[in-house]
Amino acid sequence: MMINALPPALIMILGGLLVPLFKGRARQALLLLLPVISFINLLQIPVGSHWILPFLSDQIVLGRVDKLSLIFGYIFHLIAFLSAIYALHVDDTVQNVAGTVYAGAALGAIFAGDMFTLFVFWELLTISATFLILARRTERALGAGFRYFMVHVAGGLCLLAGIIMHVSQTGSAAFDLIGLGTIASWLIFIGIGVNCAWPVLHPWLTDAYPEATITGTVFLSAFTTKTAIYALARAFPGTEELIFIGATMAAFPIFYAVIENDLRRVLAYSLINQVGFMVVGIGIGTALSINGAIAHAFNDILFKGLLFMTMGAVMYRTGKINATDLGGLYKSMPWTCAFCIVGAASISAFPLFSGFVSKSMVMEAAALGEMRWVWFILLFASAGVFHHAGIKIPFFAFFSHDSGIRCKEAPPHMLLAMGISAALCILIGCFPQYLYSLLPYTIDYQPYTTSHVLAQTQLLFFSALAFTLLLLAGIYPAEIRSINVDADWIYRKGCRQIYRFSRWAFDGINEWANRTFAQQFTSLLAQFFEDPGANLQKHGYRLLVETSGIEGQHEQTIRKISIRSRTASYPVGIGVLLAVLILALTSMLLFLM
Amino acid sequence: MKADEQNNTHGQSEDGPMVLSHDAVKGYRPIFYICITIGIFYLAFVFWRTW
Repeated sequence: MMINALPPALIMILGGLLVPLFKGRARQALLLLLPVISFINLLQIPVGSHWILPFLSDQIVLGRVDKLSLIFGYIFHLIAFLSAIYALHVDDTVQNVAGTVYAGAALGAIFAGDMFTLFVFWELLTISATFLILARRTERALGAGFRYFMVHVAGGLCLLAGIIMHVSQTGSAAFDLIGLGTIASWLIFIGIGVNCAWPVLHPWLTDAYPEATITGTVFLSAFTTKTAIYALARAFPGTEELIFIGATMAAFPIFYAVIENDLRRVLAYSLINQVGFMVVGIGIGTALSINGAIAHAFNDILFKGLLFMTMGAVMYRTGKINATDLGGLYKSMPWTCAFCIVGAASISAFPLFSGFVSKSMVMEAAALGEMRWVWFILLFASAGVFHHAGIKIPFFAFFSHDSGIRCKEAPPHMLLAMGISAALCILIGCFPQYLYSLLPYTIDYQPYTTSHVLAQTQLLFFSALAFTLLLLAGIYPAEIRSINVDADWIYRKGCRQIYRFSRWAFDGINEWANRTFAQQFTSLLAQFFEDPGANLQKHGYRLLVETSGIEGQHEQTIRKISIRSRTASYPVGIGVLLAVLILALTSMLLFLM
Repeated sequence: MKADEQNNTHGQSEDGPMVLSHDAVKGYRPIFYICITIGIFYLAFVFWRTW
């Protein structure tokens, strides 16, 4: 079928590469227009597989369009546009190019119909994201970017190994349902898990996102983890392992987020927590739970993007992001404060805000599946997210103690991006049917039932009560400027220990080999070859004497051997014998070589 | 454009208070413990009735 459109990723990627050719207003216009043109292009593509090209013995599919990929396509375009508005002041070619290419790579990955195309765009995501981190050009950003790149390359290699094994086993590179069972599927599963920030594999996220540029973090929060969620929904729906992984993801970041001082890092932990809900939804594998996971990914991109935007605006105006340095900013930045509260209410799943209409789907699916413990962990996680993202973020940035900072409100373009995001959070929360109509499965779900609203409102109010009492009782942990080492201990400390041990072990072997072979052995060889004939005779004679036990003037004989050797005064017979022996020895050596 | 915007550090510096502690307000600690105790009993009751 002929279609009048381009592959979904092409406009953003090629357009991004053209950005350096433009300056000033023209560049700003291009950055804003690219997501719009790309979105119009996407609307022209009918459902089905397009741009199918032969590749080796298989084929690559650059555009597989269905309901699952389309909903991600819509939200990726939307957040790319909002991020472009938010980043309108940025006149940095690296950031401009990396941000646009990054969004394009995410689009390429979600519309990939085969695993090779997926892999190419997957790696392009890593490369462009690394530039967004490095673009801050600080020492910490350099370190974080380097670690981000290493972890993602390792994950990418795992994915590639799995893809190659899978294709050789099944004969097909189509990116569809895989399921666990073979080594290849496990490798693909883990490769996706790295981007999804699974427990233990997650520190790249909390390490790198807070170190990226203000606008870079807004881009980063939207694409990498959500592309992984898409990949899991496509290839591993209903995989039971995901329920446990997701439940862990939802619960453990809460503890770190509560003690974290850097508010953008708090949001990074919160991001893992929210992705946990999505992973659980995909793991449960029912139509309701997968719809819930996808809807929550859609909403999370908006409200997490909004929260990162508000914290970015605070950082932009004050130059600070630690809770210890901030407070009382509601006076200086009232609009940013209001948008932050909308984002906080959305992520906390307040009724009438976007989080409520999607999170409740996943929890309802867990309850319907009789997964009591999973449901309980998600309930705990819901309370926790309200605690750290819903209250802590706005409270410490805009209220709490007055830091004395008096600054200007965020620039108009930032306010516009935040305003649109906030309006969408409320719009989706009030009219969820528009979002539901985009979901992959057709289901009849009603979030606004009395039990849902009451249960969630109770949870939120008791959580708020707990926060207030903890604070007033002086039990709430103090905000401390520090680095909280997480599972990144493995490469921050553990790898250093492994390196020290390896250096000790391998340097030891090296020194021993040097001493033994390069010094002692060569010295012995040199001594021997000073007078090889005599040495051979002397050692042979000593051996003969010791084994036979014959007594006599042995030392005198040995001295005679030395003198004869030096003066070459051998009896003819011994001389011939020696010559024959040496010839035989040489022949043997040559033969063996 | 400001200098700290050009180099993307956004002026973020490492100086500033090391700790922001939350001092207790007199009388709230017993209230906190009472609430926690009631909460645990309530949760236990809910589990007992529904599990």
